[in-house]
Amino acid sequence: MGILLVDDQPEGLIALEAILQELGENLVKARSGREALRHLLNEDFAVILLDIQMPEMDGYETAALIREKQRCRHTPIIFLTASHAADVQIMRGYEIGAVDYMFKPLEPVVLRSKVSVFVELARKTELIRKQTEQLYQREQESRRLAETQAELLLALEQRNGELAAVNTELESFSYSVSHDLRAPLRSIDGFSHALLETSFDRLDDQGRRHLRYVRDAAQRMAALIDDLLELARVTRAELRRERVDLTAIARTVGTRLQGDGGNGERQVEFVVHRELVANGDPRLLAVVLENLLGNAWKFTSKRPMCRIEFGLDSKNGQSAFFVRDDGAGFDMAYASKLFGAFQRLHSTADFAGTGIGLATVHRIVRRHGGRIWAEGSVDHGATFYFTLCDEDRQQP
Amino acid sequence: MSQAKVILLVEDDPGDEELALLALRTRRAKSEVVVVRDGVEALDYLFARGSFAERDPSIPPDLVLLDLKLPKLNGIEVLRKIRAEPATRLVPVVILTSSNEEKDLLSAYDAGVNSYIRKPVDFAAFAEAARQLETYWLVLNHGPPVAKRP
Repeated sequence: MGILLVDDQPEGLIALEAILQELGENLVKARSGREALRHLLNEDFAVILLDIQMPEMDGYETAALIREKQRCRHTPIIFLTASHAADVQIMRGYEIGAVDYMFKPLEPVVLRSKVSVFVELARKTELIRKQTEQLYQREQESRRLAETQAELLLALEQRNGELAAVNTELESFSYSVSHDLRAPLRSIDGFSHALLETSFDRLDDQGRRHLRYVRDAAQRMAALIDDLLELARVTRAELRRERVDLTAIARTVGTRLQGDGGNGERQVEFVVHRELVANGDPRLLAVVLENLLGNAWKFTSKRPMCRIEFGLDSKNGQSAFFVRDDGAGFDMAYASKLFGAFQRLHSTADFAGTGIGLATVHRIVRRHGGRIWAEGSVDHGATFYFTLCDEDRQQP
Repeated sequence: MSQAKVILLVEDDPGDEELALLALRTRRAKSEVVVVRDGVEALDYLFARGSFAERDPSIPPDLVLLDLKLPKLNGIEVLRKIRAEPATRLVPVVILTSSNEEKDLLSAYDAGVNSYIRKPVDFAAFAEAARQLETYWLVLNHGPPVAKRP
């Protein structure tokens, strides 16, 4: 901001200029009150040096007009006057809003000193104004952020509410399926059985066979319902993370398989590596092992002798658990279909199954942040690998 | 000669009822199966009211086979009422149901059920389960003492 010098006499202006040049500020000269007002329309000044004795409009009138204008209402005015002038009305000057009087001839040091005070004041005021504006803007921004945050939170809450509602619906859906779909199946199977017994003699071979098909179909459907329920359950369940002893689980599953399956008919070498531990949900991991080991058991069932192994494989610094069998295997060409729900690579005639087990396993492994993949070849067995987290840790 | 044992079968589905009776046909113990169609009837029987007012309430059945999904009162509510009354508090109750949902298992055991059996679809398996149930609860198991008649 500059300094406005107002004096009708050019010598006066030159004198002021000479004194104030040292300050290095922008000096604007006006030869009359009117000219001064024109400058004040377009520019802001740190201080106005105003001569009182001017023709047409004197210093007081000029000052009064300056004070009327919004833009320069608070600009400091220093009156300059000859000390011997008859109509110096000091009080009037202060009333109009001057901050100081200086008498001519002016003392340069004094004038410079006073003017620089106002220049400094103006500078500081400007600085404060800028800072205030910045603060205001920042406040606006924070307010906007807070609003956005509030909106997001609201949206999140709504979403949560929706999800909770969907979950509840799914639960009651599952519950219904659990109860209601199985009851008719029981009737179908049960009364077919009853019919087979009571009317055995009255039925011919075809009749009996048809009834057996009815029973098989009902039982297959029941298995399907159970597997689907399991799949839904796995998706919904909360994932716990704790230390899980996979060796123990595998051994339990193995014992059950060997007990159930009438092991006398075939020789199964069941190998479980020791101290296999993982960090995950114990129930869900049990489901994984039951499915993978159960599959291995099923697909080796046509061999008199076979080997099933569960262990930890380390290759190239990466570890993965594996379940390996030397049974029927599968064609690698169809490997991508292995984990799809309802996808099977063998016919039901060869091996019973709903085609959901691996989809369930896949989902569980994915929920743990891991990967699952398989290698196999027809009649030469299969190996299923899985990790339980995608980072390269010592324990997958 | 010991008195015939009584099995109270609480089952609303007529198909399931007939299958249960078929399955229990080859039972070992001398026992009579009483069938009621819903929870309210079951409680009427147990507390000798309504259509069972003639019954002696001091002699509870030896075994209650309870389905969960019943009209009016569901199985868990019936179980709670059974466990709430001193006269019936000790009666062996086995839940026989389609569901293996965890929430059902939890509420059943929480309400004090003695055993929880999931009805298999395969009839042969169901018959085997019924046989085992009956053998266990009526032959092997010692039930709670019954108040002697004065």
